[in-house]
Amino acid sequence: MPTDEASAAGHIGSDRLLSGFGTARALAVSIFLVSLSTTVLLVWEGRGPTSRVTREIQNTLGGLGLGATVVPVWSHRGFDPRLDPVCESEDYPIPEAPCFAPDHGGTVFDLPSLRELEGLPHLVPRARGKTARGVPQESGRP
Amino acid sequence: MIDSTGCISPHGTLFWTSLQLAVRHPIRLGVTVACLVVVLTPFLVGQAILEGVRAEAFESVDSGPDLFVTGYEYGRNASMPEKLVRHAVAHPSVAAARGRIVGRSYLGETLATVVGLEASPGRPVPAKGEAWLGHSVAGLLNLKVGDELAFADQAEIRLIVTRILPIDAGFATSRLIITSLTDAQTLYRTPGRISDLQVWAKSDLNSAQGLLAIAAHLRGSQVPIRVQTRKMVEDYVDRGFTIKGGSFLALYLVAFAVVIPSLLVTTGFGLSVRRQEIGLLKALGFSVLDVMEMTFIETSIVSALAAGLAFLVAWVWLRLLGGALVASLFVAGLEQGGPVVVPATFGPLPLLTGLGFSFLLLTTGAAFTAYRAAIARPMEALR
Repeated sequence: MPTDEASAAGHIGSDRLLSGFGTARALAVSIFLVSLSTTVLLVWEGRGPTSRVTREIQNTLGGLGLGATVVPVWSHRGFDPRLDPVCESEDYPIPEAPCFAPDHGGTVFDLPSLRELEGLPHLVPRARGKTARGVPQESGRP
Repeated sequence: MIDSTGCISPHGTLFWTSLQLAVRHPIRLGVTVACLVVVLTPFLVGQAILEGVRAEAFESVDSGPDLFVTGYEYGRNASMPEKLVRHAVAHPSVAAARGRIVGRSYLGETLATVVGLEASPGRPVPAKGEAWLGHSVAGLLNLKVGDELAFADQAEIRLIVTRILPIDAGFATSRLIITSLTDAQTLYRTPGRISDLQVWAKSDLNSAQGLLAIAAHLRGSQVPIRVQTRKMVEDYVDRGFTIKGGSFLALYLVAFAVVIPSLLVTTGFGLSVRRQEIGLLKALGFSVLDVMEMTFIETSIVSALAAGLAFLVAWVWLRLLGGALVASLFVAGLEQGGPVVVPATFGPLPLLTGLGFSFLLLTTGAAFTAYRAAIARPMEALR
């Protein structure tokens, strides 16, 4: 820390350095206000990710919608992979050509294809890389 | 910062001096904070939408059945006979089972998802001849409760709108038309068939063996089926979103790397004035440790300000502006129109990640310069 002698020697410089005290206080107040607003919003956001009406409608539907897609324009797969494990656009217009469907090729949050559930893999242990029947697993093609 | 004698503690002095150093170069401070806000805001927006979609997906999984059964033909899902519902209910482990139809249909030029639901205890569904509409599809077609609904591909079917789902019912339900199962079968001309079968097991029998027994029972119907368990779908959703979240973070690290050179310049490298200031502080008697502590305080302050502002901008962008211009990058189908609440959940983790990124980035630029100036003789630094 600065000694008295050193402070005296650097008196002019010290004054120059401390000239922005008022602005520094304004910066401190700004940081406090931003932090306070952020904390309040975080607490408010922590009340629950989904609304009561969302739960009610999902209960009525028996669960619908898993992907980041509003409506299945290109295929049901992007909307809810439970409904269709593969994308229709992979078969049209040229089967096995690169798929151009934006809801699983263009969005940031694409879900991989649901694997075929032969033999309920979460309930029946099976060898690595093999299904219960000895057939190689699907690669989980995105 | 103020001790028992009423004096500012040494660390308090360093804190205030750091603030003064920061505001001595308002343009540099402004540019640094602005750069960080511009970089951090899309990251926070993306993470919020990711968590919002994940939350709704888990709500969908939790509300779903224990076993989700579809027909299975040529390696993909297919419809199956409705009689499979009665076959499922006959099993002693089954608490409830119902058939459902999920399809697409046009109303004029508007594409919507049509869901036909069979009545089930505890799950109210529209009566025959009635329809419930998602908020978005109702807005696009300008339909209200009591209006009549006609489909473009089968004009003879007329349904009366009896409910419009509120806008906060979830983005996946915004384009839904919910009808009775019979009406959906008529619409798609598939009498006696369903697209999926939902099976809820009795709670005391909801074990792996119980579900396997039900699955085996359903396979005994000789209908080719595909069975998905709730646990499997849950794991899939969790894994999928975690992988995607990680990829998104990795992509953002690359984006961060692009702005590093500019931030290094604004935070320290090549800034001879900063070197002179440190020389002056050394001449005043500040130690190397004091200078480094001040540097870390300054970078912490700027990081906190930038991360906090980025969070506020991201929140306003999604909650008040509806994710204008950015939501369609993350959620497909928004270009179809209609009011939709973009799913978003703001948690502390992305904010802390952004804060950490900013701190690391600023410290990288400032600490090296500060250390070099601090270990030099004051006269050299002041020159």
